[in-house]
Amino acid sequence: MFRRFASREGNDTMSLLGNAAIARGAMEAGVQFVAAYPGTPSTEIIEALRSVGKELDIYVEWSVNEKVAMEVAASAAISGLRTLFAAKHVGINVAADPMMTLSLSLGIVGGMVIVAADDPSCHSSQNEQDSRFMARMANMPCLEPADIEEAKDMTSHAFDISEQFGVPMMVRSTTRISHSKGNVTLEPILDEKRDPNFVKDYKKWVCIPSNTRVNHKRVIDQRDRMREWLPGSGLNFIENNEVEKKEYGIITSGISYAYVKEALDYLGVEVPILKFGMVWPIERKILSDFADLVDKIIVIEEVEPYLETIIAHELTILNKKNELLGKYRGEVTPRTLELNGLLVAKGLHSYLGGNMPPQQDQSVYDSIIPHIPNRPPVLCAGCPHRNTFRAMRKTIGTKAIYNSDIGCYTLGDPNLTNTCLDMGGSIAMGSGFGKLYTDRPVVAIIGDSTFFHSGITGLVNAVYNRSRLMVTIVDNRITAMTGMQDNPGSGKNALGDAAPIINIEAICKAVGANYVKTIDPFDLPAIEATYKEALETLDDGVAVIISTQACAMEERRVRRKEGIIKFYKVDLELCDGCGRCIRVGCPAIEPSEELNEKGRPKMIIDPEICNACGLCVYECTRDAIQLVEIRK
Amino acid sequence: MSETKTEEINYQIVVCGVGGQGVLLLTDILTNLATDQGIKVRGSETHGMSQRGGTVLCTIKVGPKAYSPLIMDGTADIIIALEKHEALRYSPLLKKDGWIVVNTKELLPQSWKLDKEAVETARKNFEDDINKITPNVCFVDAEELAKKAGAVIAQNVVMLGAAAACEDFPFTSDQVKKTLEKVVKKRFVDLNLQAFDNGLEKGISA
Repeated sequence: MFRRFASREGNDTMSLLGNAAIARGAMEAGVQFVAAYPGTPSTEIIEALRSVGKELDIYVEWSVNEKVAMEVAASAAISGLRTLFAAKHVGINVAADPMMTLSLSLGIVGGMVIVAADDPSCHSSQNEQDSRFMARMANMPCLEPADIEEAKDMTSHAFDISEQFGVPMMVRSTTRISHSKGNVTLEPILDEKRDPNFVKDYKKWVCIPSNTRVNHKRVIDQRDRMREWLPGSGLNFIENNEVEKKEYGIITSGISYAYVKEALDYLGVEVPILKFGMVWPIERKILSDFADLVDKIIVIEEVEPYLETIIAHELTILNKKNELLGKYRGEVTPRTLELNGLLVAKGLHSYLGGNMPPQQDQSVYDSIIPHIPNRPPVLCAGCPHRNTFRAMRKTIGTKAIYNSDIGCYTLGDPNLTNTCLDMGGSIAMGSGFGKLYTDRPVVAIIGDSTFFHSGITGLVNAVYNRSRLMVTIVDNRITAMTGMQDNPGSGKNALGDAAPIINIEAICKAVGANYVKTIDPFDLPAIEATYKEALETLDDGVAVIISTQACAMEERRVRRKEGIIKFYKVDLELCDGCGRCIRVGCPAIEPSEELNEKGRPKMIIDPEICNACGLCVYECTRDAIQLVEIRK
Repeated sequence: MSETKTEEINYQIVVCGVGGQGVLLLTDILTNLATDQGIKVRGSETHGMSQRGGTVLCTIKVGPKAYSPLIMDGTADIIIALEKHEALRYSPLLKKDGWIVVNTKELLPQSWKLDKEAVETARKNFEDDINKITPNVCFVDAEELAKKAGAVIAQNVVMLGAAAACEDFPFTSDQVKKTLEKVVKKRFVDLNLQAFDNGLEKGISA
């Protein structure tokens, strides 16, 4: 599979994840430099590129955060190399500062593609913002693929357009592109390696006001030239313009185009469709033609009424009087959450008529819903930080204000998760709460990768402003939530080479935290004693406890590779069914069929799930839980 | 199982289960299977949060009408459920009289571990519930059949075998096996072929 994906010749059709298709598009365009920070649903773009990085001589790095990644990428792009940056939608916010000025003033020399992976319905995100507005704000051209095959081709095409116009390009993906899978046709990889060639130019590369005033005008003129160029590009097209009934026409872009096609299939009707491949800037000629072709225009798009708003404005400029329907007032599709073929079919049915898609009797489903369990995601079996949370609960208690952050540990303990705002926000919010409340401890909980990402600045702030704050760094030596990416604490870089391990404890001490200690969460008595000790010091400033232990899933993978299987087992003879162990909340522990004298179940541990952390052993008062170790 | 394949097939598959059960691998096998026959395929996957013991849903659409990867309610041809209660969760996706191939393995969610009544009620009603959805149900003890093949982890491929026995499943068992040989790691090929056969046999007899 890898050989086929990395093939220089292409000439092959293979099943790929959408994100791998985007990566392949960049490879086919001759990308040489890649920088990003992981985030669902964008991570696998970089995972795919780093897997071929050495073979195809592509530099790939996990940067410390998205802002840094954008700046690192900018250096390559203004040196003439083809450069890729990728982030989830909220990562684009972090990168927005350099991104805006790169687009609105500096520009680039080598083609630069910024992939923004949006997450409508928040499958794994804190909001469902729409990156197309970010592209508009940066006056940056933006392509929106409707399918994974198109995602590959558009990414590749975007490098050419970017280079032609000297501007970074956004490619906006969504979860249903990035995390969809299907057959994609591979084309040859552009075999043209460039040497970096940074040409000093004070007026171009230095964003002082006198330069930017001139450059901004250049960018605006260039965007107008792009509008003139668009009609021949093939990026935007009209379908079904031959149909007889032209009362309604549909304008759409991205994955919504696919839903429109399915909806019309089910309704059994045909109407003209204008599909925008480039959603900024908008091609006026094709819009004008479409407005003349149909009476009323329905806009189908996900999350924000971006196209609808822009098109309303463009129609005014074009002096067209078509009625415009869409989602701004919620008349055709809902204002929140992702779309699908059915939602679009329902929305269009009121205007276009036709058949409704087949539906099952809702009453059947209603009658079985009570029998379907909730399965909220939880910390993995054996997660060392279940112990860290337990220690905090026992020593700090639930009266404290706990500020959590973005990572697995957001799932740690709902009672110890009182706020969660953004990457790195735990320490900075804690810094604020620490100034507001002196009658209770204020706690920040942050992971290692998030600490490197943007926790350090918050810590400087808390120390500098003498906040009363207890920081817990739940350090598992890896960026686990997004699928085990290396970070400055793991000792490896994105291309798999050894890297320096940045010492978190030394950073916290250098920043000037009053109390800094690293602990092993598997040593429960020690960790509780450390928290008690740290609590005593809070009036004197910021305390930091770094709870360090490798991610349980990563440990399990390493262990299994070495042929070692470890798990705990309950001796049902000794177990009295007290239930203390199951209240730990470990996914591996469950009630057995065997009951105690009070009729309560004795417990068993699923050996397939158990990761041998031993937290349940601490809870057991009867020594009923024993370690089993098998070597193959 | 049909033996003649044409370009005109349009077949929609739901694969569901719990994080860690191999739903994604099964999806990968199915998209590769269609690709190997030169038929268009689009699938959706669940990544990220849902993998931490949460529910996992993948949808696979085979054929020229696969524009998006998502399946509309009431249109799936088959649900392959790697965990029994998950079959119920996604049942609205199934078309009238579509097939449900369900692993009888039960994975207790955290919320049910201390709620004996909820578990008992769900267990008691399970067969009634599933028969309300469709008469075409195939119950598979995939854990047992995977163990017989050599590894509990192969339950997903056992379930693929049982699904392949359904009359309108658009691929032959030879086609599936050829793809399995390519997709699965070399040292696990024999195990997976056996798991597939065990599932297929169960599916045919059901």
